Amino acid sequence: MSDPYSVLGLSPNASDEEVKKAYKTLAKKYHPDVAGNSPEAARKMQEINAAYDQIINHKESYSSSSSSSSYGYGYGGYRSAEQEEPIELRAAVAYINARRFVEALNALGMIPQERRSGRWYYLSAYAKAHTGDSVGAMRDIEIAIQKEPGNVSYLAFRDRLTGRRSAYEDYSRSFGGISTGFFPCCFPFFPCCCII
Amino acid sequence: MFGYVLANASSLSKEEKEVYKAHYCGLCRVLRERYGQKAIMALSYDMVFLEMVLSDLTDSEETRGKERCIPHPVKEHEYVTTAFSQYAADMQMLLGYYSLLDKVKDEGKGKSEEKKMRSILPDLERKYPRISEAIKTGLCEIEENEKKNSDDAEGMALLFGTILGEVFVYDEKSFFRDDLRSLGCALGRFIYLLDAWCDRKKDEKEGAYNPLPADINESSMKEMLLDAAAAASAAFERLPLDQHIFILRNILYSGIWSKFKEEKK
Repeated sequence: MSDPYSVLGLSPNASDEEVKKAYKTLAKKYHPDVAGNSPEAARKMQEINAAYDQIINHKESYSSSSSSSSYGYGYGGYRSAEQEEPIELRAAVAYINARRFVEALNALGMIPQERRSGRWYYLSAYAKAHTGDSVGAMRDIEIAIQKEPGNVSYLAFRDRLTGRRSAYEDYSRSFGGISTGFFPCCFPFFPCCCII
Repeated sequence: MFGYVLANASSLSKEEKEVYKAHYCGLCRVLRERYGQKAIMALSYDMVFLEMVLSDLTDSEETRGKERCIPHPVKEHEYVTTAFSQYAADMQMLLGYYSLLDKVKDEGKGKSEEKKMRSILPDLERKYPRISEAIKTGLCEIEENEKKNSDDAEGMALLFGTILGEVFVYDEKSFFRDDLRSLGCALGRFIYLLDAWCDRKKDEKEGAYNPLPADINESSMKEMLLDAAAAASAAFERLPLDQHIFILRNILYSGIWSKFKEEKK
């Protein structure tokens, strides 16, 4: 794929905020309600989506060398590896590639306990992290690392999960932190807008 | 629902407060128009957050106006409604109905309200089959685990999170479906855990169910909450939001902790 920034009409040092703005502007332009159901507009929309995905999801894997690791982190990262997967994991990987994480977890769940490899736990952690289950993701990635202690992808993925935590805490400080005082409310038992 | 997902007003600017309040009043107005005066009892900040995320995400057109209402009859105030005010109002009623149903089954309270609300259900179920199903099965599972006195707080929180995750997916075909689901799920986990934390003393006194261990301390509670909040914001930051980003970040990074801190005192 061509440079994702140029797809969005941006220079490679554009900020995330600029990427988001540019994405929305283009998405509106090629939205079926505006552009009609032309295949051209649909193709363009796909390109814009892919470019956005690549930039934003790549940014999230800050703690690792995602491009050089064997499986990568972006959704696209899996694609090349699909054929090399053990057969019973292929369905799950295909779902992950298609960003269908709920189905991926279902597919993984069909594999009996005794056949669950380090790889299985890694995929499960990956899918859980993308459905909002960060606790389950952490539990599974720890097991994956136990089973294959030297695997850099697993270690990098764990870093990424813990990185989210510290990023959150750092950022929340700029909002006065999580220890800001509470505001009184005039109707404690009534849904109330007086706090603002 | 619970109303934990609100802003920290002390760090919002005057303009931001006005925007936030206008969205709140907009949702209130839609609830009243569609479901009658009583429905505003169900109004919660959680759904204002949902409305603001979705309308920002899709650059929804805004309708503005001024009105007086029963809770605030004197001063005229501004409201903003978008296509998602309706959606958020519907979600509020769906969630409200099923939790009321639980209450009727458990405590025998709210029978007359349940009867009244039942009439709106067929429409909502027809309009949102996937979400209704998720709420129904999710709450059912939660109830079963409560009966078994489950002590797996994270597992219970995940069940609730799964429900909210579906609620956040307003359109299965949206490119941002997964990030919305993640955001909703992690926020749901946060809400469930914080609710359990806030209720734990009352539950103990009444001998009611609470998923948290009796000897839980504040710092381990904070760890659990931080994990959920961080997962929510990781998904949130992937969404292309720009209009209300300061207010929404204020909520996610600060406001959602308000009641945790209040409890501490």
